[in-house]
Amino acid sequence: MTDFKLCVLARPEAREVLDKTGISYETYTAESPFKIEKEEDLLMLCKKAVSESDEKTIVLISHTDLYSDNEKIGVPKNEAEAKRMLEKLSGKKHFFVTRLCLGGGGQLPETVKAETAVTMKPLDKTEIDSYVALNDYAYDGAYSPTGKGSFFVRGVNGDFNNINGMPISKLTELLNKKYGITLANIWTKGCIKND
Amino acid sequence: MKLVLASGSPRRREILENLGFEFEIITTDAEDEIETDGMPPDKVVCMLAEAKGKAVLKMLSAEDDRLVVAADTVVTFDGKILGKPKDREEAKKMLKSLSGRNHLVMTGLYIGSNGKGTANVSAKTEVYFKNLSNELIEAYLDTEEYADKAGAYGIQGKGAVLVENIVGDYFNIVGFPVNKFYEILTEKFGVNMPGGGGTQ
Repeated sequence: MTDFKLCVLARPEAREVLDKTGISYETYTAESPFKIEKEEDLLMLCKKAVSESDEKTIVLISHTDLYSDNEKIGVPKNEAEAKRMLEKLSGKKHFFVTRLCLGGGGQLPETVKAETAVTMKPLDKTEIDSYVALNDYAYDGAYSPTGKGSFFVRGVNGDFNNINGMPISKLTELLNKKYGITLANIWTKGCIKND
Repeated sequence: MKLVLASGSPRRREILENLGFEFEIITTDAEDEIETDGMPPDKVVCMLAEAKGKAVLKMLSAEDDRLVVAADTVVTFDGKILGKPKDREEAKKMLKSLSGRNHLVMTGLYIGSNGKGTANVSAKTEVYFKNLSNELIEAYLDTEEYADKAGAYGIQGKGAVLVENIVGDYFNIVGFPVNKFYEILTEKFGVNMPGGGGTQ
């Protein structure tokens, strides 16, 4: 088994999923600002990161979007917008869609998609107002389904960690398929090393 | 809003802390005296949570009107309760039986206080396991994470990689049904506070 390095571009909550599952990595910092709007953007960014790394480095990029009624929901700019978003999501199902791109280490970049549905309880005005007053709304959809906003989550259907941007089940399958890396290799043989 | 948590579980403590509650922890061994043989799992978890909660409620003075919160979580498979494995062998058997199948995690929740009444309900979440290879099972057992976990895995740690899918409240699997808890607080105890204790 070859030893690899894992270089990750993902938000902090997504990297925490790697921490808790015992997968070591280093954080990739993009030189210039970037925007991920479609799959090609993800592939481009991955290719760029691969070109800057050595041949033993696997690059992992994660990007998550939130959809409600087939519409992309972003981060609210202010309290008023946060309230409108919560009103829109209230009592309904919405979807966290994460795209992972894995490349480098001698392999071409490849993307996989994971989707997790979250059903929110119906919210009344007081609940929305007091949640927004907590100032914890700087997320897609204006709430944190895995933090203080978990009160509002009636149920999840899918990989829970996908909400935080790291569908761990899909990631470990892809690491195995592309590089022959198993969790046994990672946990006991330490085949992913970052120093 | 101040609570008393009648549980020594670090995972429950962490969930309540993250939600912004202030609470004191008081534990007893009240549940050890409860006979639950042959009872359906949802009844068992309710009884055990109630026993833990009531024992702590009794220790509070009559003027103390804090809400006492207790919970008990089990993993059920084919209608039977899977407890914490005694040893590695038993843990291996449990993981093998859960492989590629779905099981239910049930939590009984008890909330009670002097003068404000009580609530005792259960919540369940479905968990779908991946097909686990022997190699993965052995590697997971090597991490020793199984030792103090009902069903021999911890979804909040490395055990996350064993899970394909869940249906229901995630925190219920970890040991505390956050959504049910909030529902009872708002509907029965008239507390409206998504920020836990933070804004009260």
